[in-house]
Amino acid sequence: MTVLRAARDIRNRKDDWECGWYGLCCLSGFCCKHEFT
Amino acid sequence: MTPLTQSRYNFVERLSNNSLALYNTRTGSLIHVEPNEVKKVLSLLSDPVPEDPMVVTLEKEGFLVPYDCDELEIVKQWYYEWRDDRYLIHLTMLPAEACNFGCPYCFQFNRRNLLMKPSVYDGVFKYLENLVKENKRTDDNRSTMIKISWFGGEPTLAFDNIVAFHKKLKSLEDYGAKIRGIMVTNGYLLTVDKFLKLTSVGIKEFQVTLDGDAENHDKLRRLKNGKPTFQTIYDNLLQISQLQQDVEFRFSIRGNFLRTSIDSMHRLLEMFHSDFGDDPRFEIYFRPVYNFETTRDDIDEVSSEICGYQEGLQLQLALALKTMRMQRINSTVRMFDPLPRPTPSWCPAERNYAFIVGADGLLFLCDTWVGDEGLAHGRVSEDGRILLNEDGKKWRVSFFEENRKRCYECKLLPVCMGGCKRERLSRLGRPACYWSEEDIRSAMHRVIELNTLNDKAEPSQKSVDIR
Repeated sequence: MTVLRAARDIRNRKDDWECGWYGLCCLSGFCCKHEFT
Repeated sequence: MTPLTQSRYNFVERLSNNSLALYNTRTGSLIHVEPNEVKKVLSLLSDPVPEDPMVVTLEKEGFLVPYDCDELEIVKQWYYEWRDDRYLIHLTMLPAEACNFGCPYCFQFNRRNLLMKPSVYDGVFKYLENLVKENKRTDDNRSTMIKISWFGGEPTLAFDNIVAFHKKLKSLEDYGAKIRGIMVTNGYLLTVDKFLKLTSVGIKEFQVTLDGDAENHDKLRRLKNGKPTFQTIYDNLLQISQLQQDVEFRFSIRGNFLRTSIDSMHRLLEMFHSDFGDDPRFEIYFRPVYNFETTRDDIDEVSSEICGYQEGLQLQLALALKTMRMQRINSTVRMFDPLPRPTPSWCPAERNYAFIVGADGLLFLCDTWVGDEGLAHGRVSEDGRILLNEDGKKWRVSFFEENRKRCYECKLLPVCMGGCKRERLSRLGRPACYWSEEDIRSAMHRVIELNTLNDKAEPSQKSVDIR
């Protein structure tokens, strides 16, 4: 059994909620749910 | 010890080689189970033995939860914490509701041909100053993150005002504010000198759209007088890439595709790989053109070529996977990850500290309604107050007060959170689903395949063509 992507508690952020799901691409008007990093 | 039970957000998928994939939408965890362990894992999921090491992992990853755990309540808490977090302010500024381009698919609802007034810059600054100072008084140890996205129209048409505003913003750093500047520009006027000026005042993230190679791009993203733009933009990007690596920035190139321009996107990707592929400051991604309602009919020029919902998603995914392979990007990079991760909300339009500020101070809560006074949600006053109108107040009603039982019971809730608010509100109670359970299962197969491939061979441009 291999953990390919570990669980993440999204409340554990630094100073930006943008752990996010709305990178620059949200400005298309259609959020793609992904970020760059 | 509280007994364990399966999470309501689990996806369990059998794969072709008899192995198993587990995915949890609340934690975003993905586990691959080898064929010889499948029987045991399935048994432990339905009947957990607390001391078993596999159970410990399954609990840690969120696939097993304490029997009395209210997972929906946890998701609600995310949402409210995020919605009401006054230490993160995100403003999308429209310094120029005017543009030098005439793209047929522009989604700006109404073009007003305005430049931002000085009184609006002043009002926005005052709003930020008041909030930052109040936050510091409340909690001296916590920074306020101010994220300013410069959008338009075309923001470089208001270059001097943007630079001046960012210089002024720096004074808020004395009160613990952290300022992050982002610009979405067509790149035509973004010379290397202007670029350096912007980075020097704190704007370090950029996005430029190229609609494929020159041939395709110049059909769509042309100047208002119809002249081509690709070569000017590309030359600007090449010059920017020549800057020393100690000039810090992130540059995203976005490719907007139509059903008929996929080959051109692949050619753009080859160019990107050749010219920017070794520069970690540059990245590329692809999205379909969407057909949003506006006050114009210029979208008709391309509307028959716009991808359907699922078609666009599949083409986007194929381009993302090719990009990952060519650029040797690990699938943990979120932008290219086919499997969604948990989110506090679909988009910042639901947040109480996120606004789109029009050139005349009108506030829009959704970026697809920009420019229409009748659809504005309020305005920012010169003394920095946010004045929401009745529509704005209605928009601010929380997702969990909308009585959307189907959404609250859905396994996809943590990665969707009701989807696009505009869509949701316009559908009178019907959900605005983007992901389906089938999409998730399909993505699980793809990600496992990708990980297996990555384990077996070093990805290379020559050996992979996933079109």
